[in-house]
Parts: sequence; C-alpha cells; structure tokens
Amino acid sequence: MLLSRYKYLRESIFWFFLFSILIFLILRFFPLVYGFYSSFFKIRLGFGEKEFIGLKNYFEVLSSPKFLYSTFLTIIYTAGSVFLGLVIGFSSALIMNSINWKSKLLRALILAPWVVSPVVAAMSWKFFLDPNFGLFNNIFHNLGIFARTDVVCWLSDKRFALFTCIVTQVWLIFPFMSIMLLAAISSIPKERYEAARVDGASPFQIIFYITLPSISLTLFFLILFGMITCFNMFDLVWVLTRGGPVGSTEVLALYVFRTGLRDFRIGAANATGIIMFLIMLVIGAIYSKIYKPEGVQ
Amino acid sequence: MRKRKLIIKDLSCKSISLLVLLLILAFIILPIFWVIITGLKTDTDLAHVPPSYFPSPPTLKNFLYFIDYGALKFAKNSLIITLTTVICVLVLTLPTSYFLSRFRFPGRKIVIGGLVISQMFPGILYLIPYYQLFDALNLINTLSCVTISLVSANFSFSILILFTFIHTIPQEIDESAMIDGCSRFKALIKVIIPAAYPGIIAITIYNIVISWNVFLSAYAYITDDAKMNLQVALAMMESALYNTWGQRMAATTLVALPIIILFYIFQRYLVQGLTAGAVKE
Amino acid sequence: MRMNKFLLFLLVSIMIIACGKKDKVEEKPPGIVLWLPFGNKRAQDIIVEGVNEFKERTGHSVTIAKVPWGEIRTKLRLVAGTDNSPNVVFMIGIDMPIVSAAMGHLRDLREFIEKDNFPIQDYCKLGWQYGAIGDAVYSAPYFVEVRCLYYRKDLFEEKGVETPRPDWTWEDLLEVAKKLTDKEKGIYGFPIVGDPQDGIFFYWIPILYAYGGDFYDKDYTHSVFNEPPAVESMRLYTRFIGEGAAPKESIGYNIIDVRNLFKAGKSAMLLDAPFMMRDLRQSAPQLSGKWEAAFPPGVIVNGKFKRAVFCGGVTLTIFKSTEEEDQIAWELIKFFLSKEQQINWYKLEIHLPSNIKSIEGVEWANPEDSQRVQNLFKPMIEDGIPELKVVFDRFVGYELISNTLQNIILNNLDVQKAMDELAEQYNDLLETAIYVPGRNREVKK
Repeated sequence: MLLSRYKYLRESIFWFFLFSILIFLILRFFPLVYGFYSSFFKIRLGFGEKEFIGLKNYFEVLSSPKFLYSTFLTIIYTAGSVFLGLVIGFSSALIMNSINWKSKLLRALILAPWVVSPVVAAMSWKFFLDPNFGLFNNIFHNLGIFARTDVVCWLSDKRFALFTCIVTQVWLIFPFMSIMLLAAISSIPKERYEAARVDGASPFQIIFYITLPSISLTLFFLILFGMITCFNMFDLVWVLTRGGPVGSTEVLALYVFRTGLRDFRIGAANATGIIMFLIMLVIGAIYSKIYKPEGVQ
Repeated sequence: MRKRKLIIKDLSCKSISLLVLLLILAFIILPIFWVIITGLKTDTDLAHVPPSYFPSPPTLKNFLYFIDYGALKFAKNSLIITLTTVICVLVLTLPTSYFLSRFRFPGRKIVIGGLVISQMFPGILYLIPYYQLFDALNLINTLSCVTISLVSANFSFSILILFTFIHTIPQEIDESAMIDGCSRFKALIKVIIPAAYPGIIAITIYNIVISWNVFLSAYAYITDDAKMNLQVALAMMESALYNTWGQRMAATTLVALPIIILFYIFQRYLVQGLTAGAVKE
Repeated sequence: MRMNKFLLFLLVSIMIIACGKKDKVEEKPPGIVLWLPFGNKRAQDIIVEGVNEFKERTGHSVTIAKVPWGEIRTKLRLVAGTDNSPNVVFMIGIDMPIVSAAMGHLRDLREFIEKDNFPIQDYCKLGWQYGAIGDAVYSAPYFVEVRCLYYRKDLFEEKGVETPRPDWTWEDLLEVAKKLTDKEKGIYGFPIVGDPQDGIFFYWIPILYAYGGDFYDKDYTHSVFNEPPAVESMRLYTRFIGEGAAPKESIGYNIIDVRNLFKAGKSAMLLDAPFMMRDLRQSAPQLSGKWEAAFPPGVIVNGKFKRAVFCGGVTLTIFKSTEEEDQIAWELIKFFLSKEQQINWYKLEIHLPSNIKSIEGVEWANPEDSQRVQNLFKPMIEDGIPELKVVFDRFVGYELISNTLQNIILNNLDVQKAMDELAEQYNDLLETAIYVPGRNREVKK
C-alpha cells in the first residue's frame, strides 16, 4: 500500500521533474530571497558601501511622499486600465458574438495589439498623439471638436499624461480580454437565453443576469491577469513618458527602476519591490475573497 | 404591429452594434495606419502642420535607414534570444507538467500553488538581484542573461497551461502505451505530445511573442550595442536626438512586422490554446 | 536503463542551455576600451575611422563599445570599478565627469598634461573646467556646443517686422515674437521649450544667467532661485506664453518639437546648434533662402548689455585602470585632440571642435554656412559660461524647473511664489548631492 503512494520515486521522470522545480526555485524564488535580504542594507552602487540598517529602508520608503504618490498613480493606472479594458473587451465580445463574425483577417486585426510589444505600442501612440504632427489631434480638429488653436499635449501635460498611458495600456490588453470573453460567451448554453426571452427580459437584463454570471470564472481570471500585468507594467510607461511630465506617470515599476538604477539606492529599491509584491498579494487576497465566481474551488 | 416594433428595435440594436464595432476597430487600426504612413513619408513631407494623410511621394528611405542602422544585427539577437528561450522552456516544462499531471505526490498542491503565486511576482523586483547574480557569474552583457530571465518569467505560465491540457488526456492512454512496451518517456513523446499539441503550440507561440518583445532585461543587462535586441534598439532610437519621426516610425513598423506575420499564420492555435481554459468550466 | 534515459535528457538540456551561453566565452580584449555614445551615424563613422588610424599608427588595440547617451550614465555607474569598466569615455561635459570623478573613478589628467607640455590654452577652456575638482583636471574637451538664434526670414518679411540685431534683448525678441504670431494660421513667434530633457537647459538657463541669476549662491549653501534675477528671468520666460508669443502647449515641447515646428513654418524663431544649418539644407530644401541665423539676445543689467551663452560640449575622460592602459588612453585622447581629428569633426557640420583655432581656413560644404560659423558661433564660444558645479541628477533638477513652469502657466501660480518653492526644492537637492564644490560632501543616504 505505502509503496504504491511513492511509486513515482521509481520513475526516472521524477528526477527530471525535481531538476526543473529546482531550476524554477533558483530562478524564481531565490532572487526574491536575495532581494529581501539586501533590502535590509544600505547599498550604494559605485561607492562600494554596504551597511546593515535593518528595517530602515522600509520605513523610509513607506513614509516617502514620492512612493505614496507612485502607489496612488499605480492603483489608478491599474484600476483604470482593467476597467476600461473589460468594458471595451466585453462590448466587442458581445457584438462579435451577435454578428457572428468568422473572418480570419478580422480576428488577426483585432488581436494585433496584443502581440505587439509595449515598446512598439508606446512608440506608435507617442507619435499618434503628437500635439502637432500626430493623427489624433488632426482628426479631432477636422471633425471640429477641438479648435485649431487649442492643441492638447496628451503626453507632456501633467493633467492628461496618466490617462493617455491608461488608454495605450487598454489598447494593448483589451483584445486579449475580448477574445477570452468571446470564447466564454459563445459557450453559454442557448437554453438560458431562450428561457430569459420567453420570460420577456430586456437586453440589459439578459446581459446582467444571464451573460455576466455565466462567464464569471473567465471574468475573475481576466481581472486578476489584468491587475497583475498593469500593476507591474514598466516597458510601456517608460517608453511613453519616462516617468512623465514631472512625475505624473511615475508608476511603481518606474519608481523602483529609478531608485535602483538612477539614484543607485539598491537596498531601497529592493525594499520597494518587496513592498510592491506584498501590496499585490494583499489586493489579490482581498479580490478572491470578495469576488467568488461560480464554480471556483 | 408588435413585429414591426421588434424589427425596428432589432435594426437599431444592430446598427448601434456595428457603429460601436467600427469605433473599436478604428481605435485599433488608426495608430497602426499612422505608423506605417509616417514611415513612408519623406523629410519634406514630414515638415507639415497639419500632417498629410498620405505620403506623396512615398519613400522607402526611412526603412533603409533602419536596416543600415543595424536592424539585421538586432534581429539576429532577438532571434537567438527567442529560439533559446523557447527550446529551454519546452524542454523544461513538458516533462514537468506531465509529471505534475500524472502523479499525486505529497506536496503537489503546494507546487501548483507556488506556480500560481509566482506569476504575481513583479518583474521589476528581479532586476537588481539578477543583475548582481549575473555580474557574479560574469554573464553581464551577454544574451544568456536575457534568456535566463525570460525562462524564469515564462516558466510557471507555460507549466500551468500545459498542465491543464495534459490533464484532460485520460491516463488510460499512456497506460495503454506503456503496456505496449514503452517507457514513460516514450509514452510522453509518442502519445502525450501529439494529443496535447494545441496547447504546446500555444505555449510555443506565447513564448515566442514574449521573448521577441522583451525589453526590461535586455535594456538593463546589455551595454554593448552589438548585442541589443530589436525592442531596445527601437527604444534607443527614441532617446537619440538625431532621428526624425519618419525614421522612428519606419523602425517601429519593421520591429512589429515579424511577430504580426507569425501571429497571422498561427493565430488559430494561440486562440485555441488560451481559450480552452476559458471554455472549460 | 531508466537512469540512462534520464541522464541523456539532462545532458541534452544542459547542452541546449549552454548553446545560449556560447557568446559568453570572451576574455577581456587586450588594449583599451572606448565608449562611444554618439547617436549620429556620421559622427560614429568619423570616430571609428579615427580609431582605426590610431590603431595603425601606434599598434595599440582599441575596442569600441557603442553606449547611447540615454544609457551611458546608468551603465557607467554599474560597471565602473569592475572588469567591464571602460578606459576612455566620451562624456557630456557638464555633469558626467564630475559625477565619475567624485566617485573616484577618473584619472587625473594633470600628470599627462605636464609631462607632454600639452597646449591646453589652444582649446576651449571650459572643457577643462567641466571636469575640474579643486586643481585636479579630469576631462579634456572634444567639441563644444553653442546655440544661436535661427529665424524664418519669410515670416519676418510677411509681417514686416525687423530682423534680429546683435544688440537685441530678450524683451525685444518678445515684442517681435508677439507681432509674428498668427493664431489662425497656427504660427507662433517663439515657442518656448518646457521639456526637462535638455529643453530647459538650452532655452531657459541662458536667460537665467543673462539676468545674473544662478542656481546657488557662491558658497553653495542655499538656492538663489527666489532672488530677483532668477525670478525676473522666469517671469520673462512665462511672458512668452502669457502674451501670446508662444502657445500654451509650449510647456510640453521638447527641442525636437520646436525644430519640427520651425521646419513646418509654424514657428518663426528657434535656438539651436550649428548642425541645424546642415539639417535645414538636407531635410528641408524647400526652406532654402528662407532662414537666417543671428546672435541670441541678451539682457541689459545695470545699464550693461550681457549675453549669456551656454557652452555645452563633449569631453574625454580616462577611467582608472592600469598604468599602461592609462598611458594608451592618454595617447588616444591626444589623438582625438590633434588638429586633423578636430578638423574632421568640424567637417561633420554638427558642432564646433574645442580647438577653435584649428577651423581657421576650413570651410563647410556651403560657404554661407561657413560664414555663419565664423561670424556667430565662433565668437560666442569665447564668451561661454559653464553650468553649475553641484552634482545631483541633472534631469531631476530640470524636472523641478519644468514643474514650476507648468505651475505658473497651468495653475496661475504667482511667479515669485513658484520660484520660492523651486528654491526650497533645490535646497533639498543640495542635501543629497554627490558633490558640492568646496565642501565635497558625501551623500547622506
């Protein structure tokens, strides 16, 4: 009896598994441990300093107004991107479901932003939104929405920069959400719709009471995935604004990058990274407690 | 009467839907269109406010500039990084996810939980510890650091997707293969891989996309411009003061092109692979 | 049997992983390493050619690594002092040598200069000053960057406005810019630059110095941004937007945006370096004959006319390694500073070389442009002033100034109040500076 429970040990593939998991632990967990360890030191790269200061890095970071502002910006950025991404993704999924599209080209087109790298997306949007030479402002001028003399700097005006980053982020992630939602919506059994139609439900009621609950598992994972991606996003914001007009787009990932590789305060940078991770854990835990989708274990 | 009202409601619903869909498509396409158009414009053409909608005359000069700038060299680096990462990930994750799916060993739940949680680790947190690690191993300024950090980043996602695929293949299939005289590994190769191939292709393509698009590791660990990958080269163009927007947009187009072509060919598998999880409830 | 299979797989995977490492096996090459940050391909080619000539002549081995300006500061911090440290680096003169010198990475050049009796007086004196801490000299000037006023003759003629004179003040320029503005056509007289990445440096800081303002007082104890000269300069700068000579979105423009606007005919005036002449001829041939260059304006302070011209530039530095390598590095620097190399650089038509005497008699492709260089840019270098010596992240400092500009324009903050805030922020920067002249403080953090 006991032997059969441990029969995997006799498999040679077990050793391979162990090897892989070991590599995984080394590559994925060990740097965290090391980062955690070095966050208790004051390390200045280039000066050769390394001094143990305990939790001081954490206190400094948590009480620094720049960090708090950065966290605030990151939360807005994450919430805005995920929410907008879902709204647009859901709408397009609904529409595509009802129109019953089947074109390979159309699907490739809609999914294109997802495979494009954040760097490419940032470069494209940067010029697209250029106040004088970009297409966006010009279209709106020609449509008469903005006056010619009222040029808007989308990326260099501190009032709009974060919003612009959110829009670009949405451009990057909503196609993925849209396809996943479409797959989920199209797998909803038709009987539920029939039943609702027989009962005379309006389209909005159908959406809220039938569609949404049926895809809640997909929605759960999409929101989680979106939150993780946006919270940790570096590439996009860096190339778009490098921290933005006077720090108005300095999201946490940029803050860590700057602390570590521009101010060269390695200990503080690692501490901030650990704090970021803890924030993510807390948010994730709260999220799974609040949002219990149907059918989750 | 009621029928006509329904038809009108239906038509207006459909037209609003089409309008929304068109707006969404415009949202997606307009920036892409603008990038391509700008890349084709001459310098004279670019010096216009408001900018023209179509280049007249169109020119390939900006694209040639990027190629002259070293595009082929950067593409080679991107390719090396991508191929190495994909091979490493596949070799490491296939047997692992197979093992994870077939055997219920103590601690299995912890391993799965650990894999799931590890996806939440912020990439930026690895920046500096990896830097110090690579420095100690004297690997700084080589393509291997980028490969290693990519493998570490994609590992858990790949395992989890493969795991869900392999898990749906009933155990009897490999049992019967083994009864016919194969060892576990043979069973893996001959039976499981063909059965789970949509998932495998999905993972391969996912890894290709992520590796081709990697920016942060390449940016931070590689100093030598002979070893930069395409994304970093593109971002550098942005911070240099001597390029025109036409040259930058042409470079952007060239950098995005390979992955979009690849994606167009293989989209079916990618979509299948990733949405399989969504559909199965 | 099973064990063998497993070992086989292990071996295969290790081989695959090792394949990815194949480019790691390089020893540090003999000779010295030169870091080349120029983005301009023609500049890169000239340097590479020069290095090849150097290698042939002296037989020393020089490896060139291209590290763009955007990355070089970070990379230097990361590798200086390690095995990957470069030997000779081109640096942006104003802040980079002091940072590296304060961290103890640079080689004092005085020894070499004295031994070879190097004629440092032939070269722009600013370059030597940039990298000076106390009496030690850490940087050698390679080229000097200075900016003049470019203006669109056609737009001036259209509006019937007088063209710039050498004794213009900024107030005069403001008045003329207002007359040139045509809101309906989207044309502005002088769009100012608010972007912190070098924009503030080239546009506002010369005005600051012309008014007699500065960042800090003589002893570097506190910031003098809130004193009258600095406040006046900021007031003037914001008046461009306030009185309509520049669009409101100017606060977000960087130096490339205003260049593009100038070419597109939406801006009548521009401050830029000599390379703009070549750029205009090559990329905007439709503008030939429509533009001209002039001295930038000055300020009348205490009855005297004062023009503050910034001389930026690029210098060469040596990172401490071995005695032998340092010697080779100095040979390379001397080579770059030699007359032929300086003339080669001049012929690129980008900036002026630091050995200004060497360009006598050398012409650019276009004789008019050569004239402009001789008449405008060359005299200005002689009057140039270097920027502040305190070293913190230069761009953090500029961001604060950019922020102040945005506050004044967007939030209608009073200029004096805004500059008071700015002075406060610069006082804080003093605390964390890597290097403060006279005090040579280490950073507290």
